[in-house]
Amino acid sequence: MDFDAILGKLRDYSGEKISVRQLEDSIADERLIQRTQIRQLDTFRGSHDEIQSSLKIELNRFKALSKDLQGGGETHASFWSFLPWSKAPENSRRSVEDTLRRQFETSMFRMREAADFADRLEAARADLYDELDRLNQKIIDSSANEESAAEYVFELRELENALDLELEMRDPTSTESRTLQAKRDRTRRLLAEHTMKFRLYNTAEDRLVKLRENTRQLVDMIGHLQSDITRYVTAASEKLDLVSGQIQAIGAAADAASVMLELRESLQVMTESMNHATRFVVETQQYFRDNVDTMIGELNLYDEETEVALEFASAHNAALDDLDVDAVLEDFHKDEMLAAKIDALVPIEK
Amino acid sequence: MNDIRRLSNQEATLYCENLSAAIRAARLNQSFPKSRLLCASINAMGPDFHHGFRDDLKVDGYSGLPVYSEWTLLQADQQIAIQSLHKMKSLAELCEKAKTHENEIFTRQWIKRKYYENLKGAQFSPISQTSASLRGKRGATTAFSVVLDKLDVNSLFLRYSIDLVQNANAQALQLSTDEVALQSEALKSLVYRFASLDAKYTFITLGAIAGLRVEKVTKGTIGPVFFPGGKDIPDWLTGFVNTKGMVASFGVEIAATNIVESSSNDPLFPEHPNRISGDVNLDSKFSFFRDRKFAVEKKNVRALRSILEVKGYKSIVYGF
Repeated sequence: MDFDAILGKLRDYSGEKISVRQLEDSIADERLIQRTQIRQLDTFRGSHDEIQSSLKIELNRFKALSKDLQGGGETHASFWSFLPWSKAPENSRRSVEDTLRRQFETSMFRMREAADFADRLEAARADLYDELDRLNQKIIDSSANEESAAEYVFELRELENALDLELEMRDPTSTESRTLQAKRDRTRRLLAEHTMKFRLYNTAEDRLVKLRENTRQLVDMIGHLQSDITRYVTAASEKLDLVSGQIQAIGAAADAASVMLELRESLQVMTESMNHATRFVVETQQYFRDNVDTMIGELNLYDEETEVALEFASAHNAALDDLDVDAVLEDFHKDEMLAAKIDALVPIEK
Repeated sequence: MNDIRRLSNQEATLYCENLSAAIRAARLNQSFPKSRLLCASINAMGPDFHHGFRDDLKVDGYSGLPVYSEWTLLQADQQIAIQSLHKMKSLAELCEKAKTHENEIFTRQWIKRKYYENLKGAQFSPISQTSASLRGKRGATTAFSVVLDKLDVNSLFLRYSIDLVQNANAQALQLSTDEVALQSEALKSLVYRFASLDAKYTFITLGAIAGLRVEKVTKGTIGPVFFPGGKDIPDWLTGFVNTKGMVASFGVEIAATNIVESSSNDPLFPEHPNRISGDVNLDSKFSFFRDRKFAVEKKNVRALRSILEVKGYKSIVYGF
């Protein structure tokens, strides 16, 4: 075995350099990004709540208007009072055309507001896909580095065993033996350092994968909302397009009883548009309730797990700084899962 | 009757430019909706203002003006711009994203931000607005002016101005403590309904209300505008409506007690407005006058004037 060649190898890890501090910073950065995304989702929930409460008010207005058009609560005389040849036109009620137009304008505003919301969701989703790409690249880097570290740790472990065998066969006071002991110390030092790196890359990969899962969940949630709201916007805009033509065609005649049937139809169409909106907000309200809070809970759990992993890495890093290689390696040797993972990652021919 | 023409953004650019130029050239007075606001609205419907955020522009084939939903969209978009701008990324960020990202949503967001910024401080013509003002007190009576601006049933933009005098016991209008004129809901509603009818009819109907005496009803109308692809273009105007050109017309109807004789100088509505005779139960007699002016490309001004003269009209023709 070429001891010097193995010890002289310069391990070149790809991507960002790793240390406990860098890992902490990197995860903190990623969490900040994710916290911003969750906050954005929460803002969307806020916008959604506003749309919902406005819709409730409008729906009530629609009911009142429908009742008014059906003559509910009105006497026959007052129903006709708006006609110009009525004896007392000054007592007439508000113009039906005016009322319809105002309602149409409010519905149009609501539809455009929803379309604007859908655009914001689509942009947020596209941003999240970019974030997924970036996270995946970091995961690939971490995974490659983890494999590279595992390979080197494996080699160093074999080197350590070989050095132990060589040392057993020599006079411990000989120069040759002293040289081998120095190599063994160097091997153990490198073994501790690269096992540490292996653990850090392993932790980084694990944390990034969990963040990626959260990001995927966010993409799904926003995609779900966006598709729902787009469905509503498409339906509402078609109906409003239809109804604007009707309102304009009916025009001033809206105040004549002969077009009451068409008026009711216009109102019916606008009500259908409102119903789409209402159905959408009720469904998404439930969706938000089910998902956003769960997600915030999962992220809190993620933070706790990350804290434990980083504290562990931090303790080992401190031991390495104190040149307490034995303590570090002892801990790693006890970690059967880690050892198994290293073995699993190293190619069979090794 | 509606016949909607969808103008592509390229067509809409020229249409909006020409229409605003025509309105500006026509030097509209107070009988018409405010031309500055109207031009601002029309310009905002053009791609130079919205940067392609809207796909097309729907124009009424008969009136030649944008249809009701276009005015409503503009109004809605402005409200949304005010509440959304602070939630959007900066223009520089969106521009960078639009240039580097393949997803079209970022280009759309960038365009939208530019459009919203244009909308934020803009002032547009209201789709419908009514106001009243005090003209003076004459003994036990009070003189008021009522004004209604509205996009009417035919997609024509109009202003109805009514000068009336109210007796002390009538309640159509009231004065607040600081002498601001306030219309009753009933009067507002009545004027709103009459907006599509002619000034003569409104004069008679309002005059029939106890306690009110109408002195003058003026109806100023923007349109019809004859544009390429429009409907019902009179034969004598078709020569001026080509791929680039349009002819805009602006009508005024006045029913008033101080007009000596009823007459019409409106080549689009040539019937003679007969004087209303004494069979209508009004406190005062009135006469009726109808006029129309035109705005056309500068190079066509002389030709249109000649045609109008031959037809016997003294209509003013402006060039843009």
